[in-house]
Amino acid sequence: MSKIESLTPEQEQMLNKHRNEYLQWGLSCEPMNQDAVKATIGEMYRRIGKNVPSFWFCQSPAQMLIVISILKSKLLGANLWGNLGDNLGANLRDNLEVNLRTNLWNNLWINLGDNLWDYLWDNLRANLWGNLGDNLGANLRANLEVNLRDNLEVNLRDNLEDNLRDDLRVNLWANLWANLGNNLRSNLKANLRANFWDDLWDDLRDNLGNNLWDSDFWGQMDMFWIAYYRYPEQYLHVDYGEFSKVLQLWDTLGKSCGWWYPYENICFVSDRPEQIHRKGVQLHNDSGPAVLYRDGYALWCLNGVDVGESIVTTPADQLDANLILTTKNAEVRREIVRKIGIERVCNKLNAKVIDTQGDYSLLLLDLRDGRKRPYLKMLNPSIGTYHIEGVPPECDTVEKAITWRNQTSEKPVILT
Amino acid sequence: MLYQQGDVLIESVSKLPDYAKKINTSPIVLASGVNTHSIDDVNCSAYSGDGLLFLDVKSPVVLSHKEHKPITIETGLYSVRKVREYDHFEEEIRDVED
Repeated sequence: MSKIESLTPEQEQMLNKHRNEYLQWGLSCEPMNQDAVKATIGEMYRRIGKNVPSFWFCQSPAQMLIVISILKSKLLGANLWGNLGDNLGANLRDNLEVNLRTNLWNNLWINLGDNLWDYLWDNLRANLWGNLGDNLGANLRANLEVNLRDNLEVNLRDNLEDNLRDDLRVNLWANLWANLGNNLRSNLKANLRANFWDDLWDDLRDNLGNNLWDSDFWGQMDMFWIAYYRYPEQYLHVDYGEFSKVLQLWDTLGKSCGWWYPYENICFVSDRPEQIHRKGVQLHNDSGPAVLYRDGYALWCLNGVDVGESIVTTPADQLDANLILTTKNAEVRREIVRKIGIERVCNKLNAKVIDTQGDYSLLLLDLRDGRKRPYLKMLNPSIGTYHIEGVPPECDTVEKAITWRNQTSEKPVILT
Repeated sequence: MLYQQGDVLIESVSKLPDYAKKINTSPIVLASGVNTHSIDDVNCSAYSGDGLLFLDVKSPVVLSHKEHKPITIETGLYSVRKVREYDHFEEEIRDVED
């Protein structure tokens, strides 16, 4: 059988359409489709010889992690998780989402109130992981996703020329990964880790680590690899045989929900965000959350960097320049400087004048981190305003700074 | 001979490099940021190559920009480039844009 060597103009056109379609699904803010999730994940469980699980639907990944943690803890009495495991079966499935969740949450908030986190922390730190149900992650992954990918790849190799396969990978996988995975997924993951890990689960790093944080099941954010395999099937008539059905399951799931965590007899599924704001491929919103879930969990990002709510919502002229001195994360610090403006930063942080020459001054900004940050302050002779530009740490005079800036020591005959 | 208008440097050269090809554009935009540095004069031709811009000025022409006073450039051959700055937070060198 001869391999497909190139795309027809129609197939090229469909490639763009296909990519856009999957990007839209990947960034979808529609409420999740619970019926489709139940049917799809149920079928996945059946395919690995497991019972169809009960489902616990959450409004965000954060809520999902909290629920899982509470259920795993001894907070609500001994062996709650064990009881759940025993009783989940047919009886609990229908009640799980309404009665149980309502009761658990009511119970929690009535009894724990403000002390919830302290209790959680104390209880979670104690031995808990051993009492948990099995996480099916590795099993599902091995049986479905990785196995599926391997088989699809073999099929593609048989059907497509190398160049075409590379083109598709760049066009679909890489492009959609840049949009979905690189910023959206990694920011969510980092934010969850920062907000929950440090406060609650520091001592559980070894136990929870990869099992909880690094789930491979991202729902809509898995669309980058799903789109890659779906295109040859849909538009190049590549036949994946029996694996086509499994790919269809992943496709449907990607169009139905956000992250999900499969356990024995129970599967936790997060809704999709309610809002996603981006600048290019990066999460960005300078007037609100860049990602907002329906329970209020949010990411506050500027230019792809999770900077927190106060930096986004505080007007630039009210943002305290001293934040730069106390912020350890270099990317966050960069965004603060970008928002405040380097002129105001130098002014507020009392940058020291170390040299002057005519209308030029060389300022040294000290952020108390042992690094030299010289800035050349200069006059726009046309309109009489000053502005500041950075020059490398080795510039310690105005002369050196100007020479570096212009890449010549020659003086302009006219400067305006 | 070196002229400077804000972030743009116009530096005289002895000849145009072989790789520079004439570009037909009017006006000739030397740099664009919030505002543009441009020459709108038939006595000036633009050449580009290897990411660089060159000017062949047959008789004096005026370089304009909204925030800088105009500069009259004398007859001659020139290369055009931007001044640069160092971002201490990105730790990178980049062209200045004004």
